[in-house]
Amino acid sequence: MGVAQARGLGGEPPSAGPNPLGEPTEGRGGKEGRGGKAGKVGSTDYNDGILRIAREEPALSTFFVDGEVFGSIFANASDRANLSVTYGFAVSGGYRWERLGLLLRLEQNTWVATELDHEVFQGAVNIGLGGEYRYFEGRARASIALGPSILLSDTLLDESGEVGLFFLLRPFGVRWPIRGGWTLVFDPLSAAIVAPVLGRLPLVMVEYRTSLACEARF
Amino acid sequence: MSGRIVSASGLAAVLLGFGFGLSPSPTSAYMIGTRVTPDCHERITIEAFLGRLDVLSLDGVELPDPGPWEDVSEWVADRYHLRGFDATTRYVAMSLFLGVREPDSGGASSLNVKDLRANHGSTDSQHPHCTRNTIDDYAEGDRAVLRGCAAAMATAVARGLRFSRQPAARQHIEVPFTLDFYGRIDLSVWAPAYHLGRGLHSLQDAFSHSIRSDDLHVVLHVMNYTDAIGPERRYDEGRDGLRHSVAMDYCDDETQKIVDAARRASGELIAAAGHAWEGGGTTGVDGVVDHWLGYTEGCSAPEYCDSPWVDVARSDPTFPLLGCACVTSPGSTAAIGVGARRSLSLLSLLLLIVVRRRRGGPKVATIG
Repeated sequence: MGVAQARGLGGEPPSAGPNPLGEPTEGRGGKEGRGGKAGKVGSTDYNDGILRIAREEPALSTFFVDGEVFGSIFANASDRANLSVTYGFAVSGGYRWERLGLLLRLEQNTWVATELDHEVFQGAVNIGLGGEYRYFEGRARASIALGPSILLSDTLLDESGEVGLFFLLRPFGVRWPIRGGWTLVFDPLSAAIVAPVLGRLPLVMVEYRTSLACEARF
Repeated sequence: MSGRIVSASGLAAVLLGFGFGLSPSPTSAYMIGTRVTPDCHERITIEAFLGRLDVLSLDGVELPDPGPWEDVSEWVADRYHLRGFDATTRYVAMSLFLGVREPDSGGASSLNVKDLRANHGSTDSQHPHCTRNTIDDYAEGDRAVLRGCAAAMATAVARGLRFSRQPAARQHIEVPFTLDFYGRIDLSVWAPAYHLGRGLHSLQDAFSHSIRSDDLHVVLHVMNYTDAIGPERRYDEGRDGLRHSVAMDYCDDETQKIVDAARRASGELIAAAGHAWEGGGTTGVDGVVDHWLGYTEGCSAPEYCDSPWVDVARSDPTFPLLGCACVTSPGSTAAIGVGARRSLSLLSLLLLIVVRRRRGGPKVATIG
């Protein structure tokens, strides 16, 4: 199950101390091994001098919050430019029960005009309530979020303040624990539907995003 | 701020190019405005229109029912300083704006590779852009292009003229238009002006795709786009003509004199069409063609009668670059042959960015 192995000098087990994940180490039989106390992140065991570092264990119950930056470049809609440059930042927070979690997401989504204008639009503020599921022993995460999308800036056809829908699907995010209860989360590809205007001429953007987040647990 | 925008444009173009492989690069002469290209056609057209407002009677033009055309009309008014004009004038200007973009975009996105392919990929539909088809060789090719270009103008203006003779309420048509973030929508336009805009596009292309006499009234040579982006081994300048030139496509200081001439010619066509709209008979295209699309044979490669515009054209000739410049062997499939004639969108757009950076960003000729 281990993802990393390190043989101690002279075949001896390495001395106790922080593991490469930045977490205290303890044998599998310890009280914070698999299925142990909430909040345990990593574990190690020794076998003939081989240090085995376990994948992150899903916490039983934990609050978390993360900050994220994201961007998208291309679109595949047949009726618009292949370039769909958007970017933004997001703050999420939530609570986890083992592999499942509930989250609330707030993001600001900036749009770059490519077809006619030379402008950068503030775009939309999106709010999503959703859930997540962690797998691959906590090293991967899938999540969805759904909520309102609020138009932040005037466009050629609509005024700011219009409210529509926001949907975010992130099938595969790589979670990389770092020290001190922090985790980096990289989503190579996620899909977002940002539709702040659902009226006569809807403004619906499908964004294929790449994102990087830093998560803290409490 | 503008520096950031240019930088972002470059990045965007590079990424678009890298993301999508083979596709034809735009064959537009003067460019239509996007984030990565200057709005040459639109500016020349709107400026020519404003210059001829004194001879145009738009009293018979009725505004269509309220719709998104109002927002787009306001946007055009803001962009081209038309705020001081009445709603009808702004509506007609918007119709011209959409019309002059149509031959390059077809109403679709100007930055959609699939649409670019559809609008520019044909090797036999170059005449509306006043460039040679593959079969237009030597001096006879020049003449064939100019006939085709004039025919495209006449057809477009005549179509608008037919609409002008309908009752006012039936002079509006819905045409596709692509907006940032919204995608393709349908807009009401005044059909006579919209089709006139399409004809103006061909007329303006006749300036940026040709080598002209010193007074710019007579065409000495017509350039070639479709062979220029094809296999280099097959390209013979003496036979196929001077390569299409990105430098000639830019409406900047270097080509200011040509841009001024294109604007004057556009004004003449607008005035002629306006006269016809008022019941003045024919489209008036013939007079404009006689005045601006005359042809003198005998200026061929490599000197082209020592025209000063040859140096400008040669400063940025169109090549296949990294496109499929291979020569297809006998027996190869037609698809390969077509592919060999397509350039990379990447390279076309990269070229635009390089040009813009070298020239310090987009420049647009001012009203002369």
